[in-house]
Amino acid sequence: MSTINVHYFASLREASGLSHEEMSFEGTYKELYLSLVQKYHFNLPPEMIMVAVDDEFSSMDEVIKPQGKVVFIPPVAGG
Amino acid sequence: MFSLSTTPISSELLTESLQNEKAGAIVVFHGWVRDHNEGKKVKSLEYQIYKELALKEGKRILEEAKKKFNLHGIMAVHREGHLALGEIAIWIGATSSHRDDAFKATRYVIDEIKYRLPVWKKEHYLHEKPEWVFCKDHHHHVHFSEKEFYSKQSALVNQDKLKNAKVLVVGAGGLGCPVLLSLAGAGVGHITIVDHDVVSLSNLHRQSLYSVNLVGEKKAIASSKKIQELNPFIHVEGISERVKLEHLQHDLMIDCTDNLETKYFLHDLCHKLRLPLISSSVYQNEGQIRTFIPGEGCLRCQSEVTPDDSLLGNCNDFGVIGAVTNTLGSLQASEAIKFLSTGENSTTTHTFYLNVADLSIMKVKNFKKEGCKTCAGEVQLEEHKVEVSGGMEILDIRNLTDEEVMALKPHNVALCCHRGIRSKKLAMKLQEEGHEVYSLKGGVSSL
Repeated sequence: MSTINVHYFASLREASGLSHEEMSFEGTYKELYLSLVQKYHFNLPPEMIMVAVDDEFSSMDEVIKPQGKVVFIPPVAGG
Repeated sequence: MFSLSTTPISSELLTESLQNEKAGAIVVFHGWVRDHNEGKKVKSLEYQIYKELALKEGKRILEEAKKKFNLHGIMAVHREGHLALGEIAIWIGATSSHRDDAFKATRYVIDEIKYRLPVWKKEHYLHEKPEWVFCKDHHHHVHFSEKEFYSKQSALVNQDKLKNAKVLVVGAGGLGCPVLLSLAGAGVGHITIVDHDVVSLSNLHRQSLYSVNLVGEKKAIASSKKIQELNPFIHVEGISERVKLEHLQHDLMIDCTDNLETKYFLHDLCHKLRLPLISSSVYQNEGQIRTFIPGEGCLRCQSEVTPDDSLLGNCNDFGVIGAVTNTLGSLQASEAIKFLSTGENSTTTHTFYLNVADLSIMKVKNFKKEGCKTCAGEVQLEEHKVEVSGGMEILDIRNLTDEEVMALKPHNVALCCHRGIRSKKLAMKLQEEGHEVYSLKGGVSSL
């Protein structure tokens, strides 16, 4: 089982009430996100989410890297 | 270069830090907090930022802009935390030699930041609950993919072969412009453009890569910028200085030049280097295209002597319309794409002739002479001509100093001194700088 550190921002942070948490999960980042949707009732589908692993953009279809820092990125609005 | 700030941004200080005497322009962009969005009245804004990735991605965006637009300096600062109406949320400054680059760079940076930076905005309204907002049309993707770019052609070509091909295009004029547009669009991975000339007004009617604001600019540089904008996935390089072409590593050369002396030189060079060559030329209503595979028949099989340019009409002197050069150039590009994609095309065995006046076509079988030395690669490259015996406008330099002659930047003339020695030295120097200038052999004493 991979232990990872998952970080939340914006609406995901508000829905979960957390800025980050540690957890174990096996599968892809998309599957992890879907399980979190179940748990916290996020209102954004995985198609609208990007994922960053260890501070670099990755793909939701990638298999979860053990010991990684995972950040789910809802639609951005900089500038 | 890229930073985040939890305190108000001082535009004056940032502008000052970009001061640079090399720059002819600075363009500064402020993104302000405005009082409305989608029909709702906004009273303030909150920015939440994934710092580590934002700093990395912001740095990357600025580095891309610096490279793409030849900037002297580039800086951007994004605010964090709670902002009031009218505050600067983002500051971008770009300096360049010419204003066009600075304008384009700032636009590029703000657009990329909006697409890519992990920053979230929460709007606080007068009469409604606060909301995390985002631009709804951006939520599908980070950026477009290479696959999407080529989606309308990928069934028809070997995209990988095109991507791995290195093509040298000599001449960015009437034939070169349509060739470059087509090759860039098709995804030829590496394109080098060689042209010593600058854009002139009389080119614009047919040379579609240029525009009024580019008159005076070096063609090799202007054209490479344009096709890079068309296709960000390929590597493009423009060379306007005289270089030894044999040192450039390529798979194919495309001859888009307009004079026989250069055409024969390129032809001989390709046979020496065993490099395939696709050559095209246009005269008024007629054009021709031929592909040379070294060893399979060449121009020297038919005539060992290089014909003189005075025998042939030139587009600049005799006129041509853009539709004709664009047609031949596009066909030349098509032959190149076929060759790169499949290893074959239609002009290796036959020279293709097209007459647009009556749309007649001829395909003439190419001739190979047994024992042709050029076909075998035994080539004596004719050194670039410096001396002429006459037939050109003369510039008498006897009463001018070397510096005065160099400063005149003479064009299409033969320098003339007493005996042709000083004029030869100066002509060689001027040729190295890209000027079409020669020396009268023997000087005044020969006249």
